[in-house]
Amino acid sequence: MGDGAGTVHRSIELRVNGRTYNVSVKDNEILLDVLRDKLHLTGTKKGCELGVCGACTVLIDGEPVNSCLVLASSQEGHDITTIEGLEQDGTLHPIQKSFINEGAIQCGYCTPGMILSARALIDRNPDPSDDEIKTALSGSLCRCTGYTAIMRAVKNWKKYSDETVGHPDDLESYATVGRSIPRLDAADKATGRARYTADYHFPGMLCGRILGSTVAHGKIKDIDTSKACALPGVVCVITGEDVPDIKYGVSPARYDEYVLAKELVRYVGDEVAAVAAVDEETAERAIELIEVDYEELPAVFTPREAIAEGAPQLHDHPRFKNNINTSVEHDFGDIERGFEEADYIREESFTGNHTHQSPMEPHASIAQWEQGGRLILYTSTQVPHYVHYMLAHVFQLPLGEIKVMSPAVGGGFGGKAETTPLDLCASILARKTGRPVKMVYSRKDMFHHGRGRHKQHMQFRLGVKKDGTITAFDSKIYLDGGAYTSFGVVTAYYAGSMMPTLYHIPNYRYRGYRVFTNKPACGAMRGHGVPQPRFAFECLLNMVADEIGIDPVSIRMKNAMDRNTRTVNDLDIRSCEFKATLEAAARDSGWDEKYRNLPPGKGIGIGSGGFVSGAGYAIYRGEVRMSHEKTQKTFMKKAVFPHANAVVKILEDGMAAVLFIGAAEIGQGAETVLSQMCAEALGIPVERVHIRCEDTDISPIDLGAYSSRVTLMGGNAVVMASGQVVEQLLPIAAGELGCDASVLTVHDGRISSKDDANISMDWAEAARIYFNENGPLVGTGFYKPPEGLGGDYKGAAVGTSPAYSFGTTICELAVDLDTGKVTLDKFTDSHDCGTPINPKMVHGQVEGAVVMAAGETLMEDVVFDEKGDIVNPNLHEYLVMTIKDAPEIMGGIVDSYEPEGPFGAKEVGEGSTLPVMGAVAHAIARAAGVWVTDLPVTPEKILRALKEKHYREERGTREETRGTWQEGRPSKPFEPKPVVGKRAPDPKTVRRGE
Amino acid sequence: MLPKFRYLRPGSLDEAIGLLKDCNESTRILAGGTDLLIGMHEGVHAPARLIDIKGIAQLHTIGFTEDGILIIGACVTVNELIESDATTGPMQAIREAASKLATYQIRNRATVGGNLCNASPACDLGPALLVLDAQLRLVSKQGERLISLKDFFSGVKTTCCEVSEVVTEVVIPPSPGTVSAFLKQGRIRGHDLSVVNAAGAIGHDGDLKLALGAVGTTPLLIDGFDEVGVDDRQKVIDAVLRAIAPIDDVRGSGIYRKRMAEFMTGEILDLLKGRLKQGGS
Repeated sequence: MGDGAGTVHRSIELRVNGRTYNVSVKDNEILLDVLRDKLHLTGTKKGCELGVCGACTVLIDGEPVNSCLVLASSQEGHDITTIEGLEQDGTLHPIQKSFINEGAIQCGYCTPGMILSARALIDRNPDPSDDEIKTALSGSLCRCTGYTAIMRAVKNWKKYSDETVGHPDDLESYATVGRSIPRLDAADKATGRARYTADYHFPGMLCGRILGSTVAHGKIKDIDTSKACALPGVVCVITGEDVPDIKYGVSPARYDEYVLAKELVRYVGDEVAAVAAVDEETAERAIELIEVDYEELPAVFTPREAIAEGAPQLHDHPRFKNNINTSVEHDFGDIERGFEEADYIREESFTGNHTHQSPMEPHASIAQWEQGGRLILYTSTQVPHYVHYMLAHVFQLPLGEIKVMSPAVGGGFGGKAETTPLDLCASILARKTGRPVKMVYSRKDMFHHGRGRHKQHMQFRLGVKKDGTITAFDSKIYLDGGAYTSFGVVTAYYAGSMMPTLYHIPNYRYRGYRVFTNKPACGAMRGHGVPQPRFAFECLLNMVADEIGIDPVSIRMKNAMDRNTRTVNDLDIRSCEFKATLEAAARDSGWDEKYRNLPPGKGIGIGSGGFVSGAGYAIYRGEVRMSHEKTQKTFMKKAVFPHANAVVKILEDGMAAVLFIGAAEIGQGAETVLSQMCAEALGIPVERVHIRCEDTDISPIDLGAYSSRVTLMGGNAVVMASGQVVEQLLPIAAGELGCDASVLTVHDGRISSKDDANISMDWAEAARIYFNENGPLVGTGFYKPPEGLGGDYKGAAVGTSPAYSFGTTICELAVDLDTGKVTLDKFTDSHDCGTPINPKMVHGQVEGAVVMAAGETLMEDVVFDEKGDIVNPNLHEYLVMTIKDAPEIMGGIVDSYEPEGPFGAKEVGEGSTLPVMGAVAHAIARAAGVWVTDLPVTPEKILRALKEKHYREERGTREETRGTWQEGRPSKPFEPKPVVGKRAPDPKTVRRGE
Repeated sequence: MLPKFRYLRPGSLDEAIGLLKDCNESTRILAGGTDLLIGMHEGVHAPARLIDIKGIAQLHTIGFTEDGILIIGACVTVNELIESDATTGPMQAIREAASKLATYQIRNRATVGGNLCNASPACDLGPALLVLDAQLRLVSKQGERLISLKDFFSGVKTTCCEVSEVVTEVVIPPSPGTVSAFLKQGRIRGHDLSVVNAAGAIGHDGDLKLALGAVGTTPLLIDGFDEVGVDDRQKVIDAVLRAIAPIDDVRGSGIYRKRMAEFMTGEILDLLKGRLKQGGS
């Protein structure tokens, strides 16, 4: 129309939270952007921009709407309420309190939208039914909580004043540890105060965008950036020529990515160019104006195509022959003999799905360079230290020249466990322009960047005795890796190494091949590499149990791992109450009454699983320093440097402790549990502990939130640092009290004699005296995993851990036999996480894991077209479970004590994902009478399987049993190896808190 | 990020049709925006002008005329449909379709007119309104016309609405004694576009009408059953299967859709029978 459409600014009056703002907007500006960027009300979040996720929900005239689908210009004369408007005169609305106290907040990114929708609901209906709550909240997606606590928070909203509610699983043995205190960051998240990376704004800040390849495999013949550069408002355009000639990645042996493609692109979305401009809109336009001329090359999209004779090669290197990125060949025991000993052998193939973490907060980075050339990067990451290390590598700077800041993170699930192109491009653009540069992925970018779960093609063979005892297990897996290595080497090892941790498997063979394909690289996602093989194994075990006539719970009990065992692949299991989880889940679900007695269409199924509690070794080798300056050293079976480190500084008035630790809070609750452990070890109330995690300048390094390591490793460092403070404090108190320091103990802000309660003084007073005499009262602590973890074979490091979690889930569901649609009714879960530091948060992790993994089983799948482009790169078509789909979840924690863990604690977040997929698939098989072994188990696949079964039955050909009976050779009684290092006690003998 | 456009917000219908008079294809009418803005965000549409009709009060009314005709203003939101007393009894299918459409937040913005004009083959209100013989009033500077909804849809996401016209209301003739019903099959229980949806109605004279969505290029009205009634289940199903031509997409294959169409037709017939027995709901 050429009438300067859209460039005209109009001044409008917006009434927000009772205040009138005069604001100048463009016609095409959406309300969400105006609220965030112009009114700085950043509590309203941007999650999908398509009205699906609900993170941008605001109230307009009291009714919830998606502010991403409302033009700002249309809102004159309306009353808008954002999350910032709920608090009145410093008092939270009861619904906010309820969310805080019920544990309904984890990463907090969905929280503002959820709370506003809930508020609108209770305004029109103070006593909503479950269905009414679900209808009202079904437009807000949550990836963390599994919706269980959110339901509870809305149902119980009237109950809340300022009271904190505990949990039936709370421990009495400690003052702070084992207590379900509300998350320390919950109030900030419930009020919109919590700031995520994209919520930050700096003067002069530019916005950046990345251009991705439009072809799945190609040579870049030419890039013409002239039109983009000429666009007013564009400040800088970079291409492969402008980025260092240094490859980066995750596994040091396979750094294979350039910041921007230098010559070749290997998947649709592979980064080709980047732009910095005065605003997002200009940056977006500039990206569209960059012209790239590709010479398209043939591409491969499945492992089968990729390894075929004559297939195009993604990485021209002899090491990656046939596009095989990593191959694993592991043999433990005597596999041939093991199968000879079996009475029954069952073989089955399974196919996983290509799932994506899809945290509610999109990745974001803001880079700026200080005068003098120091880089400061704000980033939404799970691994501040690895980002720090990788920036140092790419820019060839000492770590001291870089500072990484981690604001609140809206979920990760493995998708933020590596350095992103945003981190690197923002840094380069910021250096070139001399201005801060903010870059945020769109939801579509997130899918194109990928790093989701590897789709695994699994061929399994299991041999058992008549009584169900496992004699041999043979596994062959092709992992669809995508175009680059990312975490893939580790993924391929994990897919094999974790199998023998749950059951005694005397003879085990694993062949794993990670294959390059022209798709986004896959990475680490909750349960890294293990959930799909675990799903397959649990399904196979259930098939075998049914076929040989043993109850699925019994076959697990028969083979279940015991505490203090070294597995066949040399992993040291210390605490292990797996059998207790089986018993508890079976008992609490009424398994025995239900298993064979449900009507058609109803099913109950079981799955088990567990995970590491922190990786035994760091991702990179050697010391903390620039990688190119390190000399190659042979791998020793011990940590080179501490994986977790903490400093505790006592405030000069003695009234508070500041805990400095580089651990990443990504929504899982790291800050809260670390603070609880700090308070417990110091003997002060948790309200007096303030944690600082966000700045690599002030906190010592921690490897981050991956491999479920924070509670155990960070916790140990915190306990040690706090202990050092107490050690320095007790002699002071002893001097004051006139007793021996050895009789003193710290508890609840007092230092008292164990022998005589009357001999006691104020903790803070002792700390003040210490400061007056000695200066700062500081304790430091660190944690190195035990030496000697793992075997002596290639790849033995992957799967090692100081401790392992165990769990069992029982799923009850209904299958509509006419439509194939599955309705999840209930999960009964039992988990061995050692000592729960915060039981309510343990349950929150389990509930979130159940819903995420059940969604992966039923509906999640990234789908590619024949050109390698993603068909569903959005939350409309990539289905994430809504509150309407979520089941009821009954969680239980069994008594367990981990000798390597702080206060006996270990992990929960990833381990609780693992039992779920197998349990769901099993329950479907029981309900429908057919197994679907290809994920996701969609209604359509169920119906197809039913039809095939019906067809077989009509023709009178009964389904042949797929297993083979044989006369098994007699087997020697299997004697597992004893554990190396600390041994776990029988939890019944543990007296906590003493 | 939305492409650039000029935003216009007429305060009256006259003003709106005046603005539309000289418009070409690059002008779009904005109501709730829950489809249009998504399309613009994704680069499917890039209109130069948006005419926001949500500020026109007369388009927000819903109710019966003295003659028992139900008039639903184009800007009535989907949640207003659910809350209105008008969508009960014979009009039950409308309420059922509305309550299955997208999410609560979306329903607070999405409008009846918008849902129909977006003309998605999977649109939920389409089948429900088709079986109730709904007509649309289209107004332009040249005058107005009433067109049956069946003729309004012309293809995938296209309608016979001219650039200069605005849909002002849905007009549903009186249907005493009619029973109607709507069912939706999505992939999940939460928000999802329909894999297949289906509506049915039986008039007081026993006249059966069915309509299905996501099984062809537009929501399909299947009528002309003449002597065939709710009890001729197989004949009805056969007629449905002859009429539909579903495609494969990310939500389901054509084969699955056919099967669902067959199943849901049966379900709709059962529902209608049940409601007839209750003497209309």
